[in-house]
Amino acid sequence: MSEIKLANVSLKFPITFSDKSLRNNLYNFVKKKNEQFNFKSCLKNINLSIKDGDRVGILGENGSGKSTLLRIISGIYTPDSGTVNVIGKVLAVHALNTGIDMESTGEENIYNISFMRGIKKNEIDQKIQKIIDYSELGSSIFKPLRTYSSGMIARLSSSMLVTFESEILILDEFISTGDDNFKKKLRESILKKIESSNIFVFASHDKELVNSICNKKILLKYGEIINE
Amino acid sequence: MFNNKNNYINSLNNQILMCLHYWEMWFYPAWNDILKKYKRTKIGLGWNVLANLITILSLTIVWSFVFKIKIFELLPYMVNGFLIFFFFSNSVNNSCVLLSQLRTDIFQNLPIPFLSIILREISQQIFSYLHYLIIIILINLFFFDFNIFYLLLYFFGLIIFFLITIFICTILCIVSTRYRDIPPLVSSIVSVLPVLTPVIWKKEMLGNYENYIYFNPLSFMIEIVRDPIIGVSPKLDIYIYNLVFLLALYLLANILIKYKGNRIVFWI
Repeated sequence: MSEIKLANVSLKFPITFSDKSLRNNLYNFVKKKNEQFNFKSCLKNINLSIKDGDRVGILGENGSGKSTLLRIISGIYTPDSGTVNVIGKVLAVHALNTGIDMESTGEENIYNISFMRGIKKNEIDQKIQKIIDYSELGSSIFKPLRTYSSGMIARLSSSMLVTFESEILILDEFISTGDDNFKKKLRESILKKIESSNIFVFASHDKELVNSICNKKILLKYGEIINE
Repeated sequence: MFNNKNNYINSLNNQILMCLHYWEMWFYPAWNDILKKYKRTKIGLGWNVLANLITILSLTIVWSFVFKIKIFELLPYMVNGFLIFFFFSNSVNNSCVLLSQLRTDIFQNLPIPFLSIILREISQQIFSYLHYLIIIILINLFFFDFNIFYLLLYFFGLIIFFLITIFICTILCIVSTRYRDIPPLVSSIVSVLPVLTPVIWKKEMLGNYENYIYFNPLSFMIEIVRDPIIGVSPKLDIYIYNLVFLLALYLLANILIKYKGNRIVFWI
């Protein structure tokens, strides 16, 4: 059973530090000057309850707090106040090519990125052939990524995504990459993955896409939920 | 995959447990980082080994004339002292830029324990240091009688040294991410450390001021690694200094992560 529960969650970003210089900080400290940080309130009093079977779409303009909310759910950010309770195995994709190393081969990258996501070696050994077959990269999988085109790199990253198992899937923008055939295959796989996930949370600007996939929608504006 | 990062983001102990459970998360990437250094070269890290050994040998020859010490008496002392110092300086300098330059995208986009990033870097440096292990053991066998007890003391000292370095790097990484003046400051201090630490000179040369060197923690850190391998049994109080220093660093790292662990990602 999976669940995501956010209660009164708020978060402020320090946008500009008054100074990252140690010298000026020490000077201000000695002179007893109050530091004036600029904080941007990214999320204000977010209350959210997502249960098994929910496919939640988060809509909003740029800077409304969609990605921040997703990062809080996936555990990258911790809120300043409120509580976050996430039960279930989370697979969060904020940037598709995170952890990619251009000097390593495709196979080495599969292992490294999987390890960084907390997947054990024996699990990757069982799945690696499936990832390689899905990517359709052939013998290029054993070549360093600096020899790949951007489309090939995206194929590799998205192949890992559809093969990793999870109970909660979090996507920051729908993934659509590669040539037409691969795009179609990827879309079908992602939709299948969404169906098999207990919970799916998805941030997008595309209202039609959200309407087609999600049974719940949240509209964020200036860090607050204005419509649910 | 990890669940609920809030359980470990502000807890060093939980991060240690996680890093022990998910050890592949830092071990294999570190090993891969080392293998990368061999790509497209014939001897890869062998060039670093060669360069460092030539530097140490040259310094030994010059210093033996300056201090009027026999080369073969000075050589094992300098080799062992310098090699462990190189490990320390590389680890410390790299840790200051780990989050701000080297592993930025990983820490910003994956709910990865902060400590795993430190362990990946330290592991990489340990693998580099292990390239010298055969040379260290050969020098020991050539110049001294084989003594299993001293060999075990050497490995014990090495483990303590590595643990102390991990916590120093953890603290420096956090502080350096927040204050960008720290990396050049640390780099400057590390560059003069060989002069302030008995790496290229012997503490006995200071005469009555010998014990003042222990105000520099690196002095007693290096002693528990170097002394057993050159056939000298370190005193018990040196081990106590090291263990007390290790405990102090652990507590400081604990406090930093407890109160600032959740803010680190915003400082990048």
